[in-house]
Amino acid sequence: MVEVRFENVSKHFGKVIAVNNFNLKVEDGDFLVLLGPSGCGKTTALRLVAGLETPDAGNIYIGDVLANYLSPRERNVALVFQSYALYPYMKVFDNIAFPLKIRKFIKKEIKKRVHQTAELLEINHLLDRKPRQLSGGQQQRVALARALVRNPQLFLMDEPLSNLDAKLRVIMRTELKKLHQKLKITTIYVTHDQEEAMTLGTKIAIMNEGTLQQVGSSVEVYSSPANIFVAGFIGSPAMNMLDGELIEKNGKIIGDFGIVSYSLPHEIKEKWQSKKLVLGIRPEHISITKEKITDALKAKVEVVEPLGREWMLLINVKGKTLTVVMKPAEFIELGDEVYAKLDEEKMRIFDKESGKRLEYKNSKSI
Amino acid sequence: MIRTKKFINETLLYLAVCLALFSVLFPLYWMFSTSIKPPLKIFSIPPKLLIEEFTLENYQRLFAEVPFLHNFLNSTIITGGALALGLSLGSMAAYGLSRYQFLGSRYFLSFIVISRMIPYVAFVIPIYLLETNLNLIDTHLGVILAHSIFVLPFTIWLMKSFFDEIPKAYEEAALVDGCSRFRAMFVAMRLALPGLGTAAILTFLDSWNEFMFALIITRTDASQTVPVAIVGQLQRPYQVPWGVITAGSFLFTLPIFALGYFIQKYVAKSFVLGR
Repeated sequence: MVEVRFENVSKHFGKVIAVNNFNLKVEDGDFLVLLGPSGCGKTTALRLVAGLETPDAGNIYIGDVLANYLSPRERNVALVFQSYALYPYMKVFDNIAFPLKIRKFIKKEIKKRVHQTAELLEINHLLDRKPRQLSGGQQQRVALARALVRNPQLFLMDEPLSNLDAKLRVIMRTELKKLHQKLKITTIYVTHDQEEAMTLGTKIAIMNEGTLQQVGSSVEVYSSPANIFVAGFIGSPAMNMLDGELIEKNGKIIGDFGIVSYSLPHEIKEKWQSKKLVLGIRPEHISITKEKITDALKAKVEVVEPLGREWMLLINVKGKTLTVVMKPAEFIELGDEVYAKLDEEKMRIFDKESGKRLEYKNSKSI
Repeated sequence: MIRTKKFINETLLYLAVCLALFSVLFPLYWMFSTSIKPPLKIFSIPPKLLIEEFTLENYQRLFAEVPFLHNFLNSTIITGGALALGLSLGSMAAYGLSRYQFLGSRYFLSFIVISRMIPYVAFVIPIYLLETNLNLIDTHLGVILAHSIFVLPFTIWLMKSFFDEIPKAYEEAALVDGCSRFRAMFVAMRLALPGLGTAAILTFLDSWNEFMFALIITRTDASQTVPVAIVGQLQRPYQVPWGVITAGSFLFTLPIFALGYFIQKYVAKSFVLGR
């Protein structure tokens, strides 16, 4: 079990920049999820740690060891592939035993360890089968067993659940979490599925276009997104975004977002790069009432999606469409006129040019 | 109406199959039947299709007058050598071409394929001169090298297409599991085994049956292969010993029959599936 550090790591493939000046520290025992859209460089970052790619610039440390030029086998890391990459010509037993055989373990020890690992993952009854005779979930377990059997200091997983059906994915997700809680091996896990990231990761690192956007717990990245990209990427349905402007009026600083305006503290003026702003508010932070209340906006219900435990609405406020998630409310019907109130404490304001969120004390509606 | 049409179609199909079978099997039958006919009956007119008289005289003469066993051993050593050299170099080259990009790698494969299209005869003199200078004339190694040269392009081309279909993830898994880069290659080799099998069969046939290079490079019984030795019998004074020649040819084709019998399913599968 070790910590992993990326220090200014960059990797190019021809003209494509896969990872750009990447800095990240994965603490000992962490389950870090690298999350981002396809092609954001998360898999490359993982492969750099595994030693399957060499960085063009910067350093990667596994523990205290500079790992840049170590071959994969010198790193004592285990990697679970998206396709599992089980050797099709070997039985399950031999697949799991392979890393031990390569390391010249004695037969007795190999047998003992394979059986122990198989027991942990509940696959002892499959040891005599070939990979093609296994279901997706079973193959997944075998791939995990092959990775676990040699007690690696670091566990790497590249979208290991993406080939499973939705139901099995949820089951395996829980199992992975339990396994990590039991073994406490430092894990880096790559996925583009934010639900997976939020449920599995003790920390989530969000990447876009090769750069790190934010690292934090699932609560942190959800409630305090560092920038517009994270705000838009995390959360389903996505955060509502309203474009606006910073204006000065009677000595006050006001954020004008078309349908709403808020007075903002003076300190903001120095921190803003441009005068263009974006207001972000999560769908669940807009409350809907039939009756008019103070500071509420008049809106028209355009779409109602009753999803069972909660309802999703699309409402129109002066030509702007907002998504709202709320408890089932049978009084609301399509085309209704309602009042929407934005929770000021929960809304986030970003500088449009830099994309960054600005920290400030809660503003007051005007 | 439809039934009649189907009947005609099937009849034509069977007829075509029978013709094809006849054209393949009759020469083999004729070879075998000649080898067990008494020498005087071989030229009887009209030719006797059925075997009326049976003798092993030709086989006895083959072993007494021709160093057949020695030639057979030479053929075995040379084919074995060409298989080992051609397959190991060919598959490794194919692996390299499939997995690595280097300056001109895109054109390299086309170049290899083109080299296969050049008639063998064009290589005879350069190879003869080269092997004379290297003192390889009349040695097993001399023939092995010549055979490897002409089996390599096809092996490389075939194996590259097999390697291209094998996901890199297997080798990467092997690397992370603790293999060296060289050892990880064997994971891909193992997965490309059907391709290697196909290449082995074609190499075996090419080298086992090859005549021209063997004729040019070999001189004595020390290295002469069966095809060269058999053809040598044609030059005997007074009379060509057809019985002995066919006896030798028949024994020489037996390993090919055996090979075909044991691996026919395997080869058909690999040709159809491409892996």
